[in-house]
Amino acid sequence: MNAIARLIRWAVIVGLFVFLCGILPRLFPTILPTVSVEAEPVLCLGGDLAHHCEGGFAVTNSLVATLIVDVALIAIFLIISRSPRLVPGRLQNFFEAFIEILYGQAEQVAGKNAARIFPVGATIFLFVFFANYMELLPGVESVGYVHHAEGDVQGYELDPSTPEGSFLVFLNPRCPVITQDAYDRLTPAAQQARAEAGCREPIHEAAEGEGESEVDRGWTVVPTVRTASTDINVTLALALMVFISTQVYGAINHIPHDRKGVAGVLTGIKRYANKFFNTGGLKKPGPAKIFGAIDWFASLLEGLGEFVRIVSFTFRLFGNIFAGTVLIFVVMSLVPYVGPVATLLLETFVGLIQAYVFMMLAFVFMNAAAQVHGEHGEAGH
Amino acid sequence: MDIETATVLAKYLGAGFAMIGTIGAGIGIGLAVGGAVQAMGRNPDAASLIQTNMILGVAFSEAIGIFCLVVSLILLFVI
Repeated sequence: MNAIARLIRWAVIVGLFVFLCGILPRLFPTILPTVSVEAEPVLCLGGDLAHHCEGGFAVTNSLVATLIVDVALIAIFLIISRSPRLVPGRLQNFFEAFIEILYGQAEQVAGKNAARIFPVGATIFLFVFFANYMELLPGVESVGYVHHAEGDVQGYELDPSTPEGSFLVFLNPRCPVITQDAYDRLTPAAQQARAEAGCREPIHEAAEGEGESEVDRGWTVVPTVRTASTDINVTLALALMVFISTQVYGAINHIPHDRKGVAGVLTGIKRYANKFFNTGGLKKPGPAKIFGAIDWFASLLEGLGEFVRIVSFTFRLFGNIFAGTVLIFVVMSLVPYVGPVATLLLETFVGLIQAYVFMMLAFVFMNAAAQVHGEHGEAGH
Repeated sequence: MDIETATVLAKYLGAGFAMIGTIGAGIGIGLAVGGAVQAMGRNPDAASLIQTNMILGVAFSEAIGIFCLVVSLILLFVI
């Protein structure tokens, strides 16, 4: 009895697997998404969109996503802060708790200085968090305008049910545009299916020297909205923001208490720059000069480290989220119907962790820059 | 082998070889988390502090693995 139950269970699992991976995609084929590292322009101000927006200002799909996140965040916090009540309502309570958790993290790193570094880190967290989670919304990276496929991109024919000149068009997943060679390699059943779906004849590869534009490679979709963090420009901008605010905050903290005004600021910058160009030890007499030289070299390395952080910040966020989208695409092409759910669950986790890590590292670096040491150092932090 | 085939071959091989670097990141993350779990077992009260530092350490070593990933993604999709 037990053995039969086990057999049935395994049969169900295998049957489900075969159904999801084999039968369902065969009956209802899906469009394979294309992976593009650079963000594509969806709108072109003062240029020609058809020619990669040369000479104009390209509104890329990641810029659209960035603006959506910005507007959503500003709207949410305007609504909450418009009428704050002493006894908070549901929404206000939720965001108060949210901000309190973030503030707790800042306090853990910076102690009593938390209030000064909190705004930068929390803003970055909220932006990155919302931007990462846009990846999970349906329609993002799948809805867009169609254009002619170029190069190695797999193109599809338009769905025959779409009327001519319609605003809303669909690609026909049964009819990927393939070359004659690829068509010959298909099984007879697949060739039969193509014929039944009413696909066009396979294209002939343009010979060497002939114009590529003469061959119609079908259509592909450029998404209107693409996850902001999968554009390296967005993550680089965030990294530069952290870099600049770290330096400014560090210099401000090196201003001596007894100096005010421009002289104080200059002294602060000078003392802060000493961290990266520590020539003080070189002036010492005798064998102490050697240790001074070592100090000087170490300070140079510290300065280099500040710039390496920009690269590390940029690629950490970009790599994680972009790898996530590529993973979703790969799973979509293998198990298109239920498979991506597991990947999306993983991406939920990764998106939160990356936002948290970005914020924490910003806190840690800013706090480290503010540490005053050396002979003029003030006591206690 | 003509130059075009060789380029494609080198591209895919390079992308694969670049991912070897993630071995180091994996070992690093394993060591960090292993140490953190041991520390949490010995001193459960300090768990939240340890966890924060662990995530930071994991982020640092993960960055190296991500660099490798970015290199191989660039080889695959950009070049």
